Amino acid sequence: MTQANTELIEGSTDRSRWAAALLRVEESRVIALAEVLAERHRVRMKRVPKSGLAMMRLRESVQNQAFNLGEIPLSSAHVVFTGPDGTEHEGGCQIMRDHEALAVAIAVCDGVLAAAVRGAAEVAALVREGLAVARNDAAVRRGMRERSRVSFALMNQEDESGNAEGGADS
Amino acid sequence: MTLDPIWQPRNQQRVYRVLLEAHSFPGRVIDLPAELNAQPATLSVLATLLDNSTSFCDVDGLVSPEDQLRLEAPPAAAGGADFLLFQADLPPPEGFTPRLGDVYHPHEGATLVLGGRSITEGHARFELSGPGIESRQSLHLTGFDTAWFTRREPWVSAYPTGVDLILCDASHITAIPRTTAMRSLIEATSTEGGRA
Repeated sequence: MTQANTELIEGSTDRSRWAAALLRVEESRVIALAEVLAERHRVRMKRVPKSGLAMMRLRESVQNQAFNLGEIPLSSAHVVFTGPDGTEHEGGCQIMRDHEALAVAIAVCDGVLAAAVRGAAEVAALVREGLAVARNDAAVRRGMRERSRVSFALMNQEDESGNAEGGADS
Repeated sequence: MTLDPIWQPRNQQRVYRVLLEAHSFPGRVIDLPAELNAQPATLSVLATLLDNSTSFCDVDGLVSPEDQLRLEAPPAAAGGADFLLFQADLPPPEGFTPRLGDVYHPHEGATLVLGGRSITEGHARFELSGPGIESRQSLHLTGFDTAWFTRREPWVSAYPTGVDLILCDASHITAIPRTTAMRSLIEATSTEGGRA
């Protein structure tokens, strides 16, 4: 991440999190901004954008065998453009949505912000907004987890009749 | 920001229909959609057929690095590729044999895409017969080295193994599946040995 875009986004938000942050913002705003930026910087598709279902394959932790967890919606895009100094910049993303236009828009925003060219400030504002929403969501989830916390230690305590809770029926 | 027409799914579906018709009626010359004429017909065919599950060999370096990336097909050696692209006015490379498949896996035979000057007229004339051709189908070619069709004979001699050919000029395609017999009517000269 360049110095310029480090200053645009609070802290040192890793580039890999920009797409996740932009997904938290209203998608029509991301697409509208990306259209302007694509026109301005003459962004080209480096790969053909795709959307659809992808099989999520994981390895279980006991025997380390691969298994298919299930299909997830996935869209990907990879774009390229030439900056004002003649340097070639790339942007890309993979998002868990079946939305090709949104993937292309996020890839454009990713490239512009990484290159810190004209329009990066607008993208950074959206990323900041998305990060704030993400922080808020995380706080809400944290609260929900706290409220539903179960102390499994209680299961070992004997009840008043002297039987251990959760014990096998005899 | 739009994709070039040949990379758009709707146009690729139209090219796929053209390819189906071409393989159903070997030797019949079929027009590609007019919107795709800005790009070579060979690239339209490859963009339609290739993806990351098919290997590809561009022997004569006809596809730009940008388009290679968009095709997403992993590169392979000429003898092991699923799809191969050749400049048709050059003869087949010395000692070249494409993958022919075997009796149990005839679908593993390669598809050769040959790009020449014209498949609608020319002095190289062939008469085709076989499945999909009612009696005889004539084919006139310009810019296709006849060595391709001489060398094809042994490749398709042990059906069901063999290779399938897709011949292209700027805006038309025709297919010659392994089941089609070709007879040369007027032999055009071959430049065999002329490949660099």
